[in-house]
Amino acid sequence: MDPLHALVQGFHAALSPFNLLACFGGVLAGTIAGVLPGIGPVGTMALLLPLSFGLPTDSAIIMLAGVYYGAMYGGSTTAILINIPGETPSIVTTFDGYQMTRKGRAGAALAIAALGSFVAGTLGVVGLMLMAPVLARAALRFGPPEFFAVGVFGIILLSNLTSAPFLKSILMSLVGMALGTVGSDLITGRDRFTFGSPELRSGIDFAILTMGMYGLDEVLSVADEPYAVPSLFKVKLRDLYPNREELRRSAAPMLRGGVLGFLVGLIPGPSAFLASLFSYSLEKQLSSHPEEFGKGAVEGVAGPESANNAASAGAMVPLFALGLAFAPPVAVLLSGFMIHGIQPGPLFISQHPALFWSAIASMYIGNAMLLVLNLPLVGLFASLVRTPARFLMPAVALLTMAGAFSLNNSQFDLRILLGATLAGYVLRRAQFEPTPLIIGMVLGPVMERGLRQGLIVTRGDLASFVSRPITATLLAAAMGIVVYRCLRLVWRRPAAQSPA
Amino acid sequence: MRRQWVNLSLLAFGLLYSYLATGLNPGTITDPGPGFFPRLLGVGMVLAALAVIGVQAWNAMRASGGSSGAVQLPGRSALLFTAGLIGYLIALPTAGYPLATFLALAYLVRLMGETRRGVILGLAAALSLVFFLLFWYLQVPLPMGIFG
Amino acid sequence: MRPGQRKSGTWTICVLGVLASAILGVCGAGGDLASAAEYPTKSPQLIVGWAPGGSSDLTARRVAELIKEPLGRPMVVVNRTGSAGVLAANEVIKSAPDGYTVLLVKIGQAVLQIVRGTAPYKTEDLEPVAGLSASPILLVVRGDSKYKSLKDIVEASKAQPGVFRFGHSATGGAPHLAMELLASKAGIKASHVPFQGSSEGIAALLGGHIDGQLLDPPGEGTQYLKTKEFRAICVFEDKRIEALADIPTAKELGYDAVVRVWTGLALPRGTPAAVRDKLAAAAEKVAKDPAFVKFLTDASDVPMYMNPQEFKALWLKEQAAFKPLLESLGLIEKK
Repeated sequence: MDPLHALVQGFHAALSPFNLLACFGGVLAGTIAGVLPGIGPVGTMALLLPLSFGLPTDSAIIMLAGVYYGAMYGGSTTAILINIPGETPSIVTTFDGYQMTRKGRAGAALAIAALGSFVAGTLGVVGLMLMAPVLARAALRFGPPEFFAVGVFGIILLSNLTSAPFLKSILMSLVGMALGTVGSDLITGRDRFTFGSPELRSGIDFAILTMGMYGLDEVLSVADEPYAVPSLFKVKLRDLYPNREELRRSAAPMLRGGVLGFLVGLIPGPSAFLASLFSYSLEKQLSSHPEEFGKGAVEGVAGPESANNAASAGAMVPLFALGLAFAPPVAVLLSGFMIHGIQPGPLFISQHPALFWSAIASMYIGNAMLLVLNLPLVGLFASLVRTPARFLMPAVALLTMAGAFSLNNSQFDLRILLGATLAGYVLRRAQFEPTPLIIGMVLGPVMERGLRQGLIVTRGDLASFVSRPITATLLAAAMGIVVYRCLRLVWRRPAAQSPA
Repeated sequence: MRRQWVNLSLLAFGLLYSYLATGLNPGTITDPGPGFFPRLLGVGMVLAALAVIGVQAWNAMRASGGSSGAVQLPGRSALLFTAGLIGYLIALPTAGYPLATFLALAYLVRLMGETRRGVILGLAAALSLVFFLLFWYLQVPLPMGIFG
Repeated sequence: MRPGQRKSGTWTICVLGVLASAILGVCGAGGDLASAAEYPTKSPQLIVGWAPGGSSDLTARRVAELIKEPLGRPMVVVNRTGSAGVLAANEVIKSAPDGYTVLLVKIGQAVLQIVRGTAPYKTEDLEPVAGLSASPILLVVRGDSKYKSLKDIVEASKAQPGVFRFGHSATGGAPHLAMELLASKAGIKASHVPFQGSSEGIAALLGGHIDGQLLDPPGEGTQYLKTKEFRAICVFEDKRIEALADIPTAKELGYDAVVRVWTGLALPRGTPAAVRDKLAAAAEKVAKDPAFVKFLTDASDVPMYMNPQEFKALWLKEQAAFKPLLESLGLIEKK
């Protein structure tokens, strides 16, 4: 059965009233999960798993998948409106999204985010549909040495995203990597920096740090200066939608973000977060006015928001093609399949074509639903933010705390949350940005694991380690970036004072 | 160097981390152990922190005093807010989620400037109820403390 | 009203609220101990130390659901990930021993981590209730691998120690130990590569980065056996498994390396015997329920029912059995 015909069949199945309902339920739950700090797609999907027991297989998958990509839409809302990311991938959206809000362009930012998510989400599904097996196999060439190289490349590439002074960013990266080493060592099983605490043995969850250093930190800032939040909320809401200029500037970033995000989604780890970071970095490099980034450049919203949605589609590639789950939400989706006796993998498409195509079709429908859900709600959300700070901030603070608790059902995490909040607050006011720290926490372990696993794989042979094609390319690229940046720094010094 | 207390704290962190890392086995370059990365990171942090301190001191000297990087302490409201959250955390296991949340919300709303008692208590009660229901629905096992 | 009055009014209410709740709490606390006969009066919580969607989580959810009939109420699954199940075990141990907090216990929490010293509790802190399943461990290599059988691996490793790189999902976990046990009995040395989760290990094997992978439960890789991308080398059992009938066991190949990843239920120490026995009886019914058996066999897992005494005996036996191996691998935490 050729793909087009199969897709049509898939739409036929996906458009059944029951499946439409399942899809809607899933994406709605996902959006809400994305908006709420702490509650994420994993918890929500796990909650819905028992419900999916009783559903027919295709409806169950449609619903669970809907939660997953739906969550990518929700996280940007609070990030743009009140500078508090609902999910870690939305951190990047706060850079320019919130600045757009301050300029009175909140509605435009929300709309661009929704639109970009739709475009990229759809592109991602196309990729999934057409290229899943091929891409999945190609991605298998990434072994531990390659992941080491990705980690190195990522840390170096992403070290200059924010406007903080370079040296301070490096210090933050290192601190982040150091925090990433806390816990039980994967390779030897030994405890590192755990001081005998069983909770610390499973490491520090970077999502908690995110909620503290971005979410609660923002709450504290507002508490300090409630009247400094500009009276932009009195701006007329007819400025709800993007103007031509903004749309024009967003088009290419959306497409680039879609492709980039999809490819990054193939890699294990928090791929949506990394995808949004890489996209931001890319857009900043390619932009003709990079100085606008961090001050409300619409490309800084369009690109990353598209990328993180495409990444969720990319993460489903290994699931469908190989039956492998590289991210926690995908693992829950995998169980959704297994519960119904279906094993995704090489045999999946040939053995269960109807299921595959109806799942794909429903993802198109789901993305469209999300666009329809989110666009008109832009006005509603923007007006919710007009709630006076003295009500909103306590509510957000306690909601964040409950959300942080719910991540691992751990009260210990709450102590880390508050510690991170205070640390983040103080650091920011000393011109240290938390973003490099979070990046360090995420990529540091990737690097270390890749190095140590990789050396076992190459049997201790460093030379063959670095001469593997993908590894060598990435490491060379990373070095190239370092050299380029050093040259620029040196070349620029006579001209201006570099505040390091 | 009172102005650089944040930088100095980070330096201290780096030194502490390095010290703790010496207890871990570094292995060799071709067979790194658990201590390999941490030692590198520790050294890196200390160097970076020293560089930051040095550069900032240099800039301060050249800019002849003034407001170069004076780090202000958290404002009074932020501190009180945080104190409220810490108190919430401490009370949570014994008081249980609904009560602790109610009290915390009331305290915070009052702190943020609302003076009408009815609004404070009403909002606190309403929000605690909403949050409680939300998380109960999500099957999150909130500590119930005395209500458990 | 003057500001001073208003402020004290709010304050008074708060203080009264706290006092009232405290009084209520003190009165209410004494209540539950007498109700062993009516156990359970509400749904007990089943604490699972692994992430939602994983095989342990799925087993737990199935048990939680099927226990509704024999016990009278279903259980509610609560995930408490971290430290390979130790955090979950710790939470159960610290909870009230009234039968409403049950642990999904696996070999790691009750045996391995205690012997290794990485668990902050002792064996006596847990009260075994029932053994439910014992998942076999499967060793696979790529279909195009030069290792066609266990013999090939052993010979190659004797010639070149450490040449065989095998992946597993936790240092000091049962699959890792199974392979090390086999290696020590065969007198060879193999290189272990820990991964975070089986998906990464399977991907590494598919990509040719490692030579073999330990699968637990086997179900995750069986589709690759069907497509011949993977070749099964052996299961770490003494008798052939029905679902994997054409895969030889380690024992028949000459190495007595039998390691199973078993799962069961446990309660905190001090739970009244009446409550424990009620739960044990219900668990027995679940273990023998055809629906549960089907669930396990579909996942290439093997039902294994044990009553509390047998289960406890298993724990102690395996603790003694694994100690020398863990010591020789240097996995015992020095205190």
